[in-house]
Amino acid sequence: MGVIKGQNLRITVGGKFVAFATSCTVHVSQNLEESSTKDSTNAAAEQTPTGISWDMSCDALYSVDTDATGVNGFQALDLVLGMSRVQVEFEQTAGAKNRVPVTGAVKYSGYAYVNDISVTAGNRANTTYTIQLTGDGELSKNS
Amino acid sequence: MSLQTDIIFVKALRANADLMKQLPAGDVYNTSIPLPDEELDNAPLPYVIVSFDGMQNDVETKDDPFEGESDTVTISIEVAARTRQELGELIEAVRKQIHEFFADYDIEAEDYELIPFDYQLSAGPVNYESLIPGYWQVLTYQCDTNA
Repeated sequence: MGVIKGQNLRITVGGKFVAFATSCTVHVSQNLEESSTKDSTNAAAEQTPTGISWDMSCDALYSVDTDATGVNGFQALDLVLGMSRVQVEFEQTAGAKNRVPVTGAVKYSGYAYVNDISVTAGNRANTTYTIQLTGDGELSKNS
Repeated sequence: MSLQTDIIFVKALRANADLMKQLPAGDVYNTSIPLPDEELDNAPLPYVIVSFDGMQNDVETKDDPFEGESDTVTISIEVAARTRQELGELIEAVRKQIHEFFADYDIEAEDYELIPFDYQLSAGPVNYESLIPGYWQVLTYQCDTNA
């Protein structure tokens, strides 16, 4: 069965993987404007596409560890404070730390603002955070 | 790191000189100073045995979906004593020592990562062995540690 495991789909932010990620989400939405008229048969609603909007989010453990291919919690926080617009990619990975892009696999990339971070530090529990990446421009398909 | 969690328990108990003086062996038994099973019946009371009883990893991430970022480690501490009262006092001394040692541990210490960031404590029943004779009880610590 060709189902891809979650650990093999990852998000990169500014060319680096979100380190210690536990989950990620890619959300693409077609914006619609209602265009129903008196001519619409049986009062059925009609829609007209007006554009595409997209965003990504990622949940991860909040780590201070630094490495060449990963973004840690503090660095993610700095990206939000810096009002950063960065290149982001959603791609299939494998190999060491699941950070080696799969050759020939489809990936989606674009530019996004790292516009939100939420850090949760529960008593006697791993500190976690969620970052929100809101797409600015086209999310293009590459391979 | 989690495979060394029992070591930090031994270190915690050894840090209490008064507790060590109460033990005829002058030390707690553990994986470094094992007490052979055949000698268990002849070991002078009271004694304390710290054992590593296994682990289970947890919190997988995309960086490593097979080994977790933290572990749950089970450590058991068997306490044996001559009388019911002595057992009760030793059990309380062990509990208090473990709690205070972990709570006050220097965050800058080299082996700070061995300190569990949380644990749940449970205790088995008080048992009596007429052949020795003596009482014994086992404290079980379910420790959450960083792998």
